[in-house]
Amino acid sequence: MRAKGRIQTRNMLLEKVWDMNFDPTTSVVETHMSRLRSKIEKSFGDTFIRTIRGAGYVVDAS
Amino acid sequence: MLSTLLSLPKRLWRMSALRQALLLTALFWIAVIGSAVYAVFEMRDAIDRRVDNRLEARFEMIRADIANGTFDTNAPQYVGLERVIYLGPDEKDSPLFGRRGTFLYDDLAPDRLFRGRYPDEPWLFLGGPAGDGWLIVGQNVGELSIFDEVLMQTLVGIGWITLLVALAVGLFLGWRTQLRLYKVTAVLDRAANGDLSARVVQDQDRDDLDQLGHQVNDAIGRIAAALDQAKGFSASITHDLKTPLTRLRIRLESALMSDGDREEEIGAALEEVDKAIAIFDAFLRLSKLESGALERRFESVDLAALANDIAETYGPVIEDSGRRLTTDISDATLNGDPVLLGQFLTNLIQNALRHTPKGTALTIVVRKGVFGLADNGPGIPEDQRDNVVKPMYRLDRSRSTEGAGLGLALRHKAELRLSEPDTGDQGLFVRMVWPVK
Repeated sequence: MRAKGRIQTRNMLLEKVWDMNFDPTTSVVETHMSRLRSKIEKSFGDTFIRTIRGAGYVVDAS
Repeated sequence: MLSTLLSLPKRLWRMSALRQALLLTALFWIAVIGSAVYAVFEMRDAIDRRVDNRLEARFEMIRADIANGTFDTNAPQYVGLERVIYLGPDEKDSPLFGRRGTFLYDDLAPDRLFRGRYPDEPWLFLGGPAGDGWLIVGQNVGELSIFDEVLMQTLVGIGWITLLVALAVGLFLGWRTQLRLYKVTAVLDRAANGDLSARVVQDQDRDDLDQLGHQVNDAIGRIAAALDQAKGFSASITHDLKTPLTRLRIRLESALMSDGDREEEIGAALEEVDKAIAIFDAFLRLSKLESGALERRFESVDLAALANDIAETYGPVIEDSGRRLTTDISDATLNGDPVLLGQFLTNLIQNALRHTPKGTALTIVVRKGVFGLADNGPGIPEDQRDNVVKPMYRLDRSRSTEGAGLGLALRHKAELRLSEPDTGDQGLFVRMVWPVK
């Protein structure tokens, strides 16, 4: 929530959330993001986390 | 031509085996000659003593005869190899009278003993008082000089024969050793010139020279293997980087040409850049690991906690891929780098995700002295298990997916073991093991 409106890269998320400072080639971030997104967006029915291809994710300010 | 001929002795002298053979031959010869000379002197000494004793015994006998009066003192006796002269008291002016001890015939008046001529052979005399007069007994010692002559001839003969035989055998053996050494140096020369298939040809293991050959073969073999690995390594880098870079180019080109959604193309280009960076990272880690640069960060790591974290992180990923994850975790600690140890386990998980079919069950195993991942997938044939832990080796040799090989080379300072799961099922159990106190 603090990083509202700014792009969060995969590496930033890996470091902050999972304390991993290397890049796993499997889709750890993607898997967790899609789960998180389905939980949030099911209850709000709105696009909340936007994927920026090649860069990362943005929490939309609304 | 002349200079090569002149430098030949120098070149021969530089051949250690030949030089050794020559030195040994010379030493052997000196020893033989020395002992022969010693033997001659000892023998002569013994014979001289024998002759002296014989002469003395004969002298005593005749003196006893003179005392008994059974010896005719008037006439000199020339019997065979013996000469006896008795000089009565009236012959005191003779130069022989009063001559004591042993002497050779040269000093004698020739007319008395040998009828006016010198003998051809040497004689030995012993003089001493007997009765009122003087007794001189002589014996022919010609046998002695003949013996001397024969002995010297024999010795010289033996000297030559031993010299020739020792030289021939020494040179032959030395030359053979030299040839065997040349075989090894020739192979080393070829290897130094880049022919790493050069091997010392031999089928036996008799002595240290054979062993030297084996060691040279081993060394060349290891160098060839290391070189092969380095070649394969750079080929892998080139290959792995080429795909994302080519795609990156295509993406950027279409972004340049496209009028519509450039963001989409740039995003895809960024993804390709990330892949290239990931490959670089993998190689950097690998080289750092192999140079030991990471060992300085070692600390005591709680493997159970680490494995639980990873299970939590990767559980959903594994489930989404259609596989199952279970854990078999008990307390274990290991002195190491927590990041690398985590990477080890996640690499194993990623390998399992990539190389096992859907429905496979993965188990994270942490026990005292064991840290790894088991699966019930197809496993790896036993004869290929050594290869998969080499950097950049891929079981199927296909390059359909990107990435830095199996990545198992990122191993820790513990022993890496691959086998079937210890439950007895089929599949693969990869783990590091280390001794526990």
